[in-house]
Amino acid sequence: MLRLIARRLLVSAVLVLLVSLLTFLLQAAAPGDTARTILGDHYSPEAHRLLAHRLHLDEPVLVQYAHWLGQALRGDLGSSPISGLDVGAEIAGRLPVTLSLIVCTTTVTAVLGVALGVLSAVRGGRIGRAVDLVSLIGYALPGFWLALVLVALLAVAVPVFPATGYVAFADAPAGWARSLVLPVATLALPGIAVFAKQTRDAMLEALSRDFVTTLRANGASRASVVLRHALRNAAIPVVTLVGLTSVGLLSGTVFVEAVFAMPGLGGLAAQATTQHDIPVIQGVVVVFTLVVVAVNLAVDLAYARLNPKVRVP
Amino acid sequence: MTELPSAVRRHRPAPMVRTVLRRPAALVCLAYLALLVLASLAAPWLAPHGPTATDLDHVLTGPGAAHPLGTDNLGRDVLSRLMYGGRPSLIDAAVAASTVLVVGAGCGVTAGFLGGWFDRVFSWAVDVMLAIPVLVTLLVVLAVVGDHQVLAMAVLGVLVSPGVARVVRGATLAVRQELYVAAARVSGLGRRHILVRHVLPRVAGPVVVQVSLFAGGALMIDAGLSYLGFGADPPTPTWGNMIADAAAVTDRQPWLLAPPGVVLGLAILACGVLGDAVRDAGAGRSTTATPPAPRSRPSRSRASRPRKGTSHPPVPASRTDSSPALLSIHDATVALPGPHGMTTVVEGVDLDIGPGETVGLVGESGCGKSVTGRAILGLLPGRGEITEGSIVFDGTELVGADPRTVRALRGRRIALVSQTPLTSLDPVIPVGGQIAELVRRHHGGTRRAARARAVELLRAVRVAEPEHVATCHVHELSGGMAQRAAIALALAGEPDLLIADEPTTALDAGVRAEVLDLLRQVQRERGLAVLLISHDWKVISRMCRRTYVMYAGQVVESGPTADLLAHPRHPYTAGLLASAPGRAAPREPLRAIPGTVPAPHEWPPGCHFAARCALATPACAAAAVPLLEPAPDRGTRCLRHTELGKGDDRDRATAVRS
Amino acid sequence: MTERPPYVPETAADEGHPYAPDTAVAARPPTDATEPLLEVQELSVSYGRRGRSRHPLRPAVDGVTLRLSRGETLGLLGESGSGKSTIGKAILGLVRPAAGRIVFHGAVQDEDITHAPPARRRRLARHIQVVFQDPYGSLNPSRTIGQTLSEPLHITRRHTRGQAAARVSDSLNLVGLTADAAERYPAAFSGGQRQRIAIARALVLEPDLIVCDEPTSALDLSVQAHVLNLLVELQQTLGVAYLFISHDLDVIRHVAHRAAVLRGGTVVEEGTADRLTTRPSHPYTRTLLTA
Repeated sequence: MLRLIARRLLVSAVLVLLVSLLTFLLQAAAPGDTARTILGDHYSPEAHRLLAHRLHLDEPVLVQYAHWLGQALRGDLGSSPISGLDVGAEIAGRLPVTLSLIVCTTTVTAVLGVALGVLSAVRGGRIGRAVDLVSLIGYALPGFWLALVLVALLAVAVPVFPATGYVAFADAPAGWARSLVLPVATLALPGIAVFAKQTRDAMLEALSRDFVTTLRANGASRASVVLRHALRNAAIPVVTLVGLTSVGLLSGTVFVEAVFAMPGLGGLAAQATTQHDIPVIQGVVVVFTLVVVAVNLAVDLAYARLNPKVRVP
Repeated sequence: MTELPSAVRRHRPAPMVRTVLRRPAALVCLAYLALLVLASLAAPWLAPHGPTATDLDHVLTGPGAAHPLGTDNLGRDVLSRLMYGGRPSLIDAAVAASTVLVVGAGCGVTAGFLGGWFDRVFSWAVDVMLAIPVLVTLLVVLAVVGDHQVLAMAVLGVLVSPGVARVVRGATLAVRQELYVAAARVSGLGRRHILVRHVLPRVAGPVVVQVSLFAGGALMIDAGLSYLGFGADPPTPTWGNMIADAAAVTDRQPWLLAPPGVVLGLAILACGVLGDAVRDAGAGRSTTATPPAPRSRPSRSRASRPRKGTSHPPVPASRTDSSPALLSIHDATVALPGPHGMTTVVEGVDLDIGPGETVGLVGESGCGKSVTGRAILGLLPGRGEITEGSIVFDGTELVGADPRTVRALRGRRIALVSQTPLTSLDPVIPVGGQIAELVRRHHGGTRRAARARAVELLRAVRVAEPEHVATCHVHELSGGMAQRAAIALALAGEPDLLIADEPTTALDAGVRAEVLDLLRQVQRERGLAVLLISHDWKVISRMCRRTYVMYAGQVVESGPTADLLAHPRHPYTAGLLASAPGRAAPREPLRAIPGTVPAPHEWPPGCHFAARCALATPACAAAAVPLLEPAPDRGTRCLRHTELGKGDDRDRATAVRS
Repeated sequence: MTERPPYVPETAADEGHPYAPDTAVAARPPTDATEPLLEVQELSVSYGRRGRSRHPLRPAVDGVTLRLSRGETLGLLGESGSGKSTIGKAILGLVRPAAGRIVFHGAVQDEDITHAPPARRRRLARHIQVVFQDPYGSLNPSRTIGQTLSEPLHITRRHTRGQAAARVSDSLNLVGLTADAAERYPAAFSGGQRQRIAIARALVLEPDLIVCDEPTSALDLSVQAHVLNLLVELQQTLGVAYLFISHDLDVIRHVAHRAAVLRGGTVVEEGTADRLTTRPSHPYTRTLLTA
């Protein structure tokens, strides 16, 4: 168990280093000159030289990376050459928005999806077919397009929810919830179907196992067989899916935050990409990678709780 | 000595492509994708307008004669822009999908097939790469290289490859571990030959599924990037920037969202459905490699089923015991859903078990012995049902009874121990917890008391250290220990009848003897009646006073075990006993029964064994043979049992007990 | 013959008996039982990755020595985990031995095949073949029987299409199937028939030795009898040797000339099959016998 966590953390550390190094190398290889971007059109060679020196731009790439890494480890992700804002502060300010989206969506998706999946495994028939249909549609609908359609319907045609924007939870919890409804619905719809399908398949598999027959034959109640035994056995693939979903949502937020004009990290990344604002996007990549690492670690721990074979004394 | 060449049917698994194309949904999807490709290629010739031709007099018109799909806010024809816009989208998706095919599937197959250090490095790299956030990394690339969509899509392919590669590796590994690959190696075939001829064809399916599902995702991401402004620069149309344009005028003309969204959505859907079709086709094909499902036959209706004794008067052979039977099955017929609809798999079974009696039910695989056991418990697989006859347990008729009646008996009166101990207990809950659950269900009480009782039960089945074993999961136990725990589980409700379905088949010889001793001890101590289902004559002769022999869905013979072994009254029983290697002279031919067991849908109207029987006469095949009583307490479904009984039976007496 | 009721096991060479095998077995002059074919010396095999496991490696096979003569059947008797299948795999080159030697006595020369390189291994295919337990997994479901059987002929014997087809149909006839079975797929055959096909595949290259790894354990009693009869009869007509791996004492007693009892990767007792199964000297063999 501890070995597992230790191994995971080691891999994660390597991963974060690798990703940041890659983005750094990419940036170094990129055409353009950060110092020149900052100075604008008119500058003296002397000023350029000084600035380049201050930014360590005149040193080898790996040395530059070491500088960046040293600062990053102290929490300083540098500042944007475009806006001049501190990258760390900018990300810290926007992180709650994205995390709100991810946590809410994952919860909604998992709860509704698992419930639907169990129901369709036990009842089958019409619910099963409906889940199949919805999961196909959910797979096929482009998220950002669905978001636009939802806005057109529920914000423009019938103004029930705000079309854009984000209200901080601390400011107004009700407003926070209202501002999240459409984005979360957009992100959750495909996921719910995927969860329902996966849960159903896992449940059907578990319900067809020998031990279910044995338990039923020896008098276990139906509720216990379904909810205590089958569902716990089916939980392992479902937990994997929770991990995959929340990681996948990091991509989804980029589009959805753009559509709903939410001040989150995804929107920041898109905007920074348009402006070729490398330090910002680099910061976002590192933070996203850390989120992925955290999610994977949580999934591993959940595995160990659910699957006694992983649990090592 | 061929086993009935007539039974050899020509059965060719159709090639993957043909199987897929036979599905209408897959055909429609292929046609739609082909249409998209053609339309975007032929756009310069087919499109009614130029993609950038503006007409400011007709902006936001909506669908009409001049513009079938309407015009946008600059009066540009939506249909034409859709056609032109398809090209970049489709090219991008193709680039991404090809990258995944080469990098992802390539690495996956290599790692799965080669194994060794390459596989270890691969698995580690995949672990690392799976944690890279795909889209944001893609944005970094775009930020650095600028709007280079093709390169971005290739990068997307690389970023997604680890996930695909992992699935493909798994599929390859599974094929590589197949016995036929080992056989091919032993046959002297080289690695490359095995890879090309044996592995790749079977991995192709999963690869196509993965790539096709990913192609849909790539279309979506491509359009999304284009929507965000990272695609072709306006006014060049793409599906993504058409959606962006439409978004700007949602309040004035929401219709504009529909054409690009629907075309794109359907394209993604087509990729997904194609993937599913290939997966289903693969699943259908791979089932040909697995043992045949329980064989089945078209169910005969009550009217057409030949009544017993139409030509031979029925002579019931029953227990001569004066005490009333605990369980009494009479003329039970069971049908299960199969490929030919509801099919009869158990036909006219009569069986009695007295209180505290151990009765054997013996037969070869597919003869219906397990189904009979399940029928008693009301736990037939699928929509299986008892179509005829009666099952009376302790005075209660179970056939047609309220499901609650049967449910109330399970565990409390009738319990089950099944074949493979390691799979017949819940793997994620400690053994003691499972037993305690049933104890509480049957007898109530506190959790603590139930737990104590569970430990007591484990001790009763002679588990060493029962307190410790109660906290163990199944995988921590040996096969014999797990089977003891399964017996304890069955005893939790203190039942009167235990159905033991091949309880020792999965165990090694030594452990088998111990578990049988335990069963016998438990049976004696608790006055338990046991229905022991087995294919093993040794087990039956050791445990059971009386035995029923099943063949092709029917009880063909019954009687006291010793007598039945010494003087079989049915040619099938005699033949089966004679084919056991234990009694023949070493390396001299065994007296094998010719032919094979007929599948349920091939059962003849007369004696089911007639086609394989040396004694068969036309009368045997003419009509159903009833269960006759050749001697007191004996039953046989053979018209010519007197011929059989005449012989010298000395050898047979030593048959199984040697 | 007509008055004798069937099923009465008298002497088995009972001509015209309704259930006697219909192929008359020509009494073949017994092969010189002293002419060695295969020797396994102090063989050890361990599973698992070296150095990575926290537990010290427990060998699956530990210092096993066996001898097999031409035309002889050596039975390997043991329970699950006794290492009996691993010995077979080591001989077939499917696992790498950790220690010991496997010597194959070819027609021309004796040869150490413990770590035969791939090319040599491929040539050994002519001499050593296999029949596995699972009749469903051992045939590629998407290739016809003819394709599966002729493959090694094309590769190792460089047969032409016509030669291979003739050889395949000979093999199929040997195992009691008609030649048109070659055009069918495995799905068309029952478990017993597939096991015949697996035997036919082992025979196409006319090997000296067939490793039979629980060849009848997945079969019902009545089907097992057919397959055992076939194996014994083939040995008598072709002179092929068997390493016969089984957990079933009765089966070993029936087919084997000599047998070795394995437990925990070591041989606990060895001798003629007859003596082992009637007068075992080791207590473990005795428990197997009484179980």
